[in-house]
Amino acid sequence: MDWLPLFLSLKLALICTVILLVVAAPLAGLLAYSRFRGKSFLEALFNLPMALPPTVLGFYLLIFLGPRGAIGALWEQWTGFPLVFSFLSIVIASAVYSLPFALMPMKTAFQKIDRRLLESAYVLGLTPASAFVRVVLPNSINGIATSAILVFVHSMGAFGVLLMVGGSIPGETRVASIAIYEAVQSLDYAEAGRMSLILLTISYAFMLVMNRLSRS
Amino acid sequence: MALDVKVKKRRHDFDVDVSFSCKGGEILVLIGPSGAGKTTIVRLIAGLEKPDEGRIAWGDEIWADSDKGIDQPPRKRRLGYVFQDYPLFPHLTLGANAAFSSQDGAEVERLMKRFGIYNLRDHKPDKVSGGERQRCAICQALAREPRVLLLDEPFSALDVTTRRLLRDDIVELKGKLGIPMIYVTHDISEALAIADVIVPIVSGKIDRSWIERPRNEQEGGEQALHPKAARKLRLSLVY
Repeated sequence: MDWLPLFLSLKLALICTVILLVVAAPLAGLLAYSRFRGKSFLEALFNLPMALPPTVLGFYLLIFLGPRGAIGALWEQWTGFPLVFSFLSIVIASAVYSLPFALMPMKTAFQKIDRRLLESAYVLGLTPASAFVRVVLPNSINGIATSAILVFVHSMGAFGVLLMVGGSIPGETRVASIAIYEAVQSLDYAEAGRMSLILLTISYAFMLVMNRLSRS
Repeated sequence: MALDVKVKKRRHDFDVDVSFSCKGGEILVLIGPSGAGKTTIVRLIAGLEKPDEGRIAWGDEIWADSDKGIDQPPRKRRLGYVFQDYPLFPHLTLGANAAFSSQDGAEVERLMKRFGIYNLRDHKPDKVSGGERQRCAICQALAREPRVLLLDEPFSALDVTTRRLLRDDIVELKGKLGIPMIYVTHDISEALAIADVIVPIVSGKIDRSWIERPRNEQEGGEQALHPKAARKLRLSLVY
């Protein structure tokens, strides 16, 4: 069996999870605690990847990350290499695709924190930012873990959006979901079955952990 | 150093409009029926709510002044606030809770020993009793070396014996700390036991007639006051 696509999928999911936990935590905090003009528009925008067909999201990402796109052109100018069809491009695509799955459980967990704990922290000398780090985050561990699991599993299973921006370059962008698709296309059902079974087992194990978390 | 409060705050049911002053080493009791606006006043002092009009100052230091557009955040006021239902940080032990805003480990240890919870320093808040949690909340507030101490019905959820013990602790602290202390209660006997000054609050305003009026359970859990106690109260009332 070719282990490289599976290894690439795990690597992608892990990197995405770390990036999204760092990026989504303050965003979820902003959505949970702040009131500002245009908040509902911003929240709808963050959640859009969940509603969009992956190919539509992939198309727009391809435009932005491509050599004529705002981000792609800057990247190429800076590094001399195109951004699309690289591992980095599928990391970005997967992170955007999974953003709502990171945001929602964290936002819900943050909103459940007793408001008086925050007020107590402010009176005890903390700024809102340090209260977020010292009080909100440690008391939202389950929500954060749920976010991490959802992002990991969702990134492992991403297909259309990755194919659009990354194609299928072995060792670079050919992740397990794409390798399974290609194996089926070439009628190699045994290879597709083995990889599918491994993905299924990993995803099921994570779902079990998530159920445990939501019960506690 | 005295705490001067003169604030107005619009609420959906009535406007809070009060003016009083509390000297250092003095316990000022805000008393009145539930929902009279006592907690709102304390929250305004703490900086957790912003007054619509008025001024709050500790000595020469202005904490809030609507005319000058000043509204210091709670962290800059450096005060201690013991809430009604001890919201300790559940992820921290009692020791870490008490030391939450203090760098002085020796002082935190002294306070915890003084309040009899040092042996519980490694316990989480959900593993100790309400009285122990509230003792920890007092340690947490005092470890910050506050310039003003706010106590919002701090012992209302505790049994009578624990309440009396902790109340005695507060009276003892008054002399040692020498800072203005604002104590909220709806219990007249508690107010009489600890107050230097009593400020009766009804519907957001100071109303001294409330003290002498007969009341029912809904209005504050106290029946008409004994004439002797009422006389004592009249003597101590300044507002």
